[in-house]
Amino acid sequence: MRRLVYYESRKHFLTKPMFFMVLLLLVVNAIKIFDVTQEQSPFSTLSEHYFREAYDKLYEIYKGELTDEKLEDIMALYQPLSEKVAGNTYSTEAEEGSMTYNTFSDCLFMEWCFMKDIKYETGYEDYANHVVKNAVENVSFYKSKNNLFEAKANYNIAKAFYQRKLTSFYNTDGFRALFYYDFSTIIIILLCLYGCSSVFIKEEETEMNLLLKTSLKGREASFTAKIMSCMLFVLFICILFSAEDYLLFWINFGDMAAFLEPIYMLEGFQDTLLNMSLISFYVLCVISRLIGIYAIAFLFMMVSLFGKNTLSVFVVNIASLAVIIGIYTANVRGLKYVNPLSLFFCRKLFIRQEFINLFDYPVCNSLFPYIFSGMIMIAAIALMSRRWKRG
Amino acid sequence: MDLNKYEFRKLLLHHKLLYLMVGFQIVAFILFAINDKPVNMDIENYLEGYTYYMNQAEGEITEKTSRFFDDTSQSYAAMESEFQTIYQKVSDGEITIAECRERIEELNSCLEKKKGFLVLYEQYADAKENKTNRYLLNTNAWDALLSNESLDIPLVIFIMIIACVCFGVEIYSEMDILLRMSQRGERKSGFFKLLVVIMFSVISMILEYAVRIGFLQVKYGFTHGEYPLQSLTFFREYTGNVSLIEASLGIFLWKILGCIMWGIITSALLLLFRKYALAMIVSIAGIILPYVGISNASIKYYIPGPLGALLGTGFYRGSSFNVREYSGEKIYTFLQLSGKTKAVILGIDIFLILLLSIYVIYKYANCWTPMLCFRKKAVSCIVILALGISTLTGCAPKNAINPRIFNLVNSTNYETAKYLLYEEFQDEGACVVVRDKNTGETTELVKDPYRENKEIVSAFYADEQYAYYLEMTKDREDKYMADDRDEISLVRICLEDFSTKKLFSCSVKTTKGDIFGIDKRENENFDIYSGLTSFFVYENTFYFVTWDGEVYGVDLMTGDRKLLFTCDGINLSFCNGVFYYTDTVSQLVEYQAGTGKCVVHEDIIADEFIINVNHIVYKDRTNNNALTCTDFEGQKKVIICKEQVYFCAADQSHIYYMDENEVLHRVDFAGKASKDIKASLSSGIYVFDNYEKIIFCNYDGGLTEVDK
Repeated sequence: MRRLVYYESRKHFLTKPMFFMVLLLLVVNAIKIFDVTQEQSPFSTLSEHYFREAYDKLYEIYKGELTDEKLEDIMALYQPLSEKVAGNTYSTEAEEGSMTYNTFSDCLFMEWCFMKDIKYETGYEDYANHVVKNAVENVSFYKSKNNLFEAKANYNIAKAFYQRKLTSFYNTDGFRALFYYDFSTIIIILLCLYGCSSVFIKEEETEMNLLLKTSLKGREASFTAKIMSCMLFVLFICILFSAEDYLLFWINFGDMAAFLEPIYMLEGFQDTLLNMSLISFYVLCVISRLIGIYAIAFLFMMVSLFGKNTLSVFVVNIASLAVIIGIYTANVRGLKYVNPLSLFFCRKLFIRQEFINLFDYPVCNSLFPYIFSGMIMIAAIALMSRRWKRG
Repeated sequence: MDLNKYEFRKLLLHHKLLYLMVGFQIVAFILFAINDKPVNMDIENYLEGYTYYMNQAEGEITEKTSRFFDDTSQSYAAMESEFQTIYQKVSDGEITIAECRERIEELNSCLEKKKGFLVLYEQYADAKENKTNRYLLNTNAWDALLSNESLDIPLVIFIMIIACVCFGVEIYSEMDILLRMSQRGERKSGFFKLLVVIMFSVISMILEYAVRIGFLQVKYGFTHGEYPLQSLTFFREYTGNVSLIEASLGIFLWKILGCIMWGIITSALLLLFRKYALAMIVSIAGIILPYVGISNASIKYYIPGPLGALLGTGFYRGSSFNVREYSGEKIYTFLQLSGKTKAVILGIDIFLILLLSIYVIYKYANCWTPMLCFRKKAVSCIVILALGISTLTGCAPKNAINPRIFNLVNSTNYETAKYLLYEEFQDEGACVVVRDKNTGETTELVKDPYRENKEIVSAFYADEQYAYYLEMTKDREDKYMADDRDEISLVRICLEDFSTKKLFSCSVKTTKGDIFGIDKRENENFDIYSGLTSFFVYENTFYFVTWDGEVYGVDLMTGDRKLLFTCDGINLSFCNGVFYYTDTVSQLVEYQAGTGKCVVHEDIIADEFIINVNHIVYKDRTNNNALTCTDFEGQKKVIICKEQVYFCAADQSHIYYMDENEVLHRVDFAGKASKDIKASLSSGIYVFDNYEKIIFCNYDGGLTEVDK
């Protein structure tokens, strides 16, 4: 079996064109990540370099665990600046002794780069406690109304938010840009389109399929070998590009020291029910992307098996991809959780989770895309194996 | 020549290129027609008034135009003030009701056009900043044609298919080697095939564009092509001197150049790789990855190639920038291309076309290439996938048949069979309270654990089984920009077991882009939803009123939003599918929600009103704003109170009103007074249909109940 898989891969995936394409797309991805860094990082234009120097100096002092001392220090720095600016008596001339250009820019700089984050972090424990209190009140209220589903759902929320707090201050720009980065998804889909579309159709075009099925291991074993080689290829591509993303973001943004901090350290994610660290959320994103791309790859392979002609297979694959993207963009309620494309935008699934009532048991709605993608894969494999055995 | 005819017949009929072409045109037209939404929705909403004033003001902004706008604003102000006093004069007896009616007719026909004038005035204020370049005209048609920067992906894929059919089929059937050995097989055949590819790509583009222009002409109507390009908002910073027709012709010619280049490139790639899959993937990657990946839109035009030419509109755009919040730096989102740059890009494009054509003809020359043996298959099959959708519901819905009455002025309290819902004022602010009628225990309506981080809109609605409220969630994609709005959602709570369900959500971010973040445009949803004052839900449609009086209906199944009509934003009622509002001259109008038919009651002239199932209680403007009660035919008018009234509500048998002495009077529908209750101006007064007490809710906190 291993040799069969190796031969199949050599036939479709370990070819010179594929190798050069993967290399070229790695370079293109690197260029795009560099471009994204320029855009998203706060100090990208040339004249903002003095911001960068001031930021580096302050960041060294205040990064890490937020002790009371550090909080007092930074408030002592910020308070006089904000009072001066509030009085509207600032000038727009350069001032000596200021960290950046003058007092006004100092105040803005401290506010956007430090104070907003610190305020969010110190206030998060309060917010989490409010959520727990509301949820616990709801549990008793819904029990009195005999609504078991809402009671259990609120109990889950209270459990997830119990004793959440943020204690350290780190620069999370790199992780935020990483989670909102979608370009490598497009590259993976294109490579998958190229690789998976030609798996079965090549046999059909060379008319080898009839001969293949008469050989010893021609029926089941070669079918399984093709599927497995395709899955290995997709796995390799997905991990390669995800690893490249993480590495390049680490190099470009300089500091990913926050990777063990909880996911709700990013300000948009404060309502998430997940209690994992940033690095494990990234691993979850990679796994979701993998499951999503498997679902789409199986669809492409199924079209390739039922097709008669490379051109039509390709066109049908592109059209079905466009239909999937179109359905996702059309934003019809409920259809989003059936679409495997929502697995590629993992952050949107976990930013805010709702519960669906399944026989009085709360099921988190982020589970549904995984279940449906799994169903698509199983259905595709069943249809394909029936067709292969019949023909 | 005959051989060329055979070539044509082979391509069109045997390789089915003709059917593909027809199919593509139909699909492209349907996609365009479905996705086309007017860029400026207000012009479509108030088209009559807008066109009436545009016909007088269109063109260049001169002294005359400025004077026209000033005069019209003043005349509207005069009409408004006349309208305010005309009913007073009737009450005082200075003019008769018949003279008043005549004057009202004239005023009404003018005031109805006021909203259109205001839309035009906004356009004028914007154009005034640059009088030489920005003319006034109806921009919707030109905007729909020109103001976007999206790649026409069906056309790109279709041209790729043309190239594959022309060159690829013969490569795969191995007939090309045999053909090239024939007499005119070498250069002439290759040249002819290339010509066919170019011709078909250009024809498909021209046809698609022509159908599009025809559709837009029917839908909006193109006017004044000779006005300068900067009259459109998308091109407003452009520093050149072109008219609309010249610009659209220029963009069209760039697109044709792009089509030609794209056809030649795909043919060249196909001849290079001699395989469909590889050639198609490389060409798709070559155009889509730069389209999605390049974030700075102007770089797409600086690189010579098919992408910039196919997009086309960037060659006529001006520079624009965003300002970074904390440093004040300008971040340029688009840099205008100078004339020299455009000429250089055009030159490089033409040079590329020549180079690639020579390559194609060279590659299609006589040489031996080792190939595996393929056989042409005749039939291609299409697989259609159907995905099943399962919907899981929480509370089981029942049909609500009771005639529920909605009055905008009294929309802060509702009653159901078991509960009372009303707005209570506490230290933290106002919140909606649900109270059991039998046991008296109260609980808050909004039970969301995350409610500290969401903005809960103060409007709510309740009918027999469900209560509804609106919430707005936040997201933070770019930490250094101030915008953190995400979505506004309508939440439904079942009053049996208080389970919640989100019925409808709408994105209210500032800019809304494609799925991968391209083609960002202004999102008008926030402007509309931020002005929402009150709403209700009836038969699967969500109706809401904004503060300037626009009433929208949103279908909860499809998410379609439509502007129904415009009222004054204060007086609106709804009962059993019929809206009641006062028009611009304070006459009562009935509007059928399904059909849109209007019935005007000329004898009911109301300043404020509320309705009941059979009666309408209103302040009669022809009688010094006396509180009057009548039925819907306008007969049997009963005057209830002649003094100033500050509050009015009605239940099934009585009317309650509060005069300036802070006493709440109870009267029946015939005008007979029966009870006086001490009330206060600084509290909310909640009168319910079936509940036997009236609730007074103090604005500073505190609640009292008094028997009716």
